[in-house]
Amino acid sequence: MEVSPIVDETLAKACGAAAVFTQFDQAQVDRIVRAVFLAGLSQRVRLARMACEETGLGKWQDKVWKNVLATLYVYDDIKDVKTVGIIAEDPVSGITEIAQPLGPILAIIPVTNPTSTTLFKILIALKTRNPIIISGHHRATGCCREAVRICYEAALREDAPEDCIQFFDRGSREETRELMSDRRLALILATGGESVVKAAYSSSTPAIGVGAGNVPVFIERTADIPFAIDQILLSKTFDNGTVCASEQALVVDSEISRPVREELLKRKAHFLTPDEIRLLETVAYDRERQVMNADIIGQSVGKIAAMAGLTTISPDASILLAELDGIGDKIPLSSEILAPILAYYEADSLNNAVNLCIDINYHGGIGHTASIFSNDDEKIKQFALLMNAGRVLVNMPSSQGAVGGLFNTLPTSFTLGCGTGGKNITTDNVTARHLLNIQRICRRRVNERTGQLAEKMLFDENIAAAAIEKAYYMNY
Amino acid sequence: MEQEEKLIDFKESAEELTCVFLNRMDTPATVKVEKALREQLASVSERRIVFDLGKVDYIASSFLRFCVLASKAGKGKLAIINIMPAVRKVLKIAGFETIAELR
Repeated sequence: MEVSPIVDETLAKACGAAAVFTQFDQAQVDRIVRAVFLAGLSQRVRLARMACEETGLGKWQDKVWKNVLATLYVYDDIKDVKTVGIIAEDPVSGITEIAQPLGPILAIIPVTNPTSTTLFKILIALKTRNPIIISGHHRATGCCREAVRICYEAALREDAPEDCIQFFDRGSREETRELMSDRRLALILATGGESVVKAAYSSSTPAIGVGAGNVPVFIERTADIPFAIDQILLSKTFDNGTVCASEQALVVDSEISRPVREELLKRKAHFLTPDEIRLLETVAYDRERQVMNADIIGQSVGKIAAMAGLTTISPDASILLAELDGIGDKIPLSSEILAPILAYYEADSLNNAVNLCIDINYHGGIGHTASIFSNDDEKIKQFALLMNAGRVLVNMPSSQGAVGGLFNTLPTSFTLGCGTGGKNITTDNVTARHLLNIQRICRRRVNERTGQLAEKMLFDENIAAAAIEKAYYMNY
Repeated sequence: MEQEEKLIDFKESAEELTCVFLNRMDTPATVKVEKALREQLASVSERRIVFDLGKVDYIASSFLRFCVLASKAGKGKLAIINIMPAVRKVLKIAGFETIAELR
């Protein structure tokens, strides 16, 4: 079957770059990565403003933070990691590990974090000698293209292979599908909505994707309440709630509900009336497709209020809280809504609270993230064991916490795996080490115990398994 | 006066033009040899082109472009000979077996 010219040219160039890259040693690679990180970091404000203006989502100041995370914090994580040649040697096991690149990577970029995801993926790809093809969301092509240009020029100045970074204009769906399933592509790194991740996994090219979040945050009775509310608002208002790991539902132990409400109100959170909830539902949620309305993503409280015709909202309201009495498709605001809107629940026991969190977690957020504020380690563990979440964040803002590096020691990443629950291959925060083929030299280290298994014994079906096991471990 | 190191040599016969690359072909080296190479390739027409890489332990992206250029000039398929393993790997990954005979 004939390949379209744009796909053929893109992949031919990427293969050329992949080929040349195989010759680079660690020092060369690290010089390139450093140059690109500095170039990206130096343009953090301009790229943030571009992203905000082009997409109409979020706040440019928070997008600056995202660009800083995607460059400085990611660089800090990866700068000393060995990603070329021999990376581990164990004379006892006789195994030597060698890092080999994957080959050309297609990076799908979401509209919510366009420049930060671009910068992040470029850095981890270059660190592992993989040429990268950036495919920006159609609502963010300008800022993504500019991020690519900045990084590519910096890379070339350090003698990186030509075409090590390319921008692919997502022309037709057909061309994107062709690109995804071309044999020359080594990996798809798909960060985006369900349809693009599904397309990646269906393409026959290996893929690392992400899943949707519907993050419950549980304020358990031993929580430091003012601190918890501060952290939750810090997270939920960050970039107007565009981070997929942001809290979606607040579950409060009813014993502490009064101080929780007081602290929320002190910080200008607005509890919606039932009528206001009904009005908000009409603009926040698409009932037909059973998904959040794309127009609400990353919008400010003021804009949302105007969209929904909510006239009593104070202009300085921080977030909108919807006290709900259920979870599911019939209760729109119990779903993921990437905006400063939080569902609110109270529970009169630990079990009921955890049940609510499980229901929220399983309502569109399996494998992503869960959050708890508590000072009881046993309850934290109980909570974590029951959540189906790749990351359970304790006493921190969920948006910034899940990304890693700021509030915990998770690797900083803009691709958060959700495991098989989210139909992903990993629950990790994806980073450079996921972009390597590890090759192993295996030296002879004979397993002496094999010698204790006589074939006569193995081929005799009357010899019990226990006897074979005993023989295997004899004198060992 | 210090002589600039020679990076390319040409051997001609009735049937072939052999371009002998004499050192690693990084970006600066390819810049230096480009003019001479293009002049030779422009005049080759009815002869086969051979790239001898016996002394080349590294090739840059620009060298891959030379291969593409040479594959379109001359008669028959470009032959690349005396290839060191690391360079052979580069040519294979780049898919150059479709445009050149690798020996």
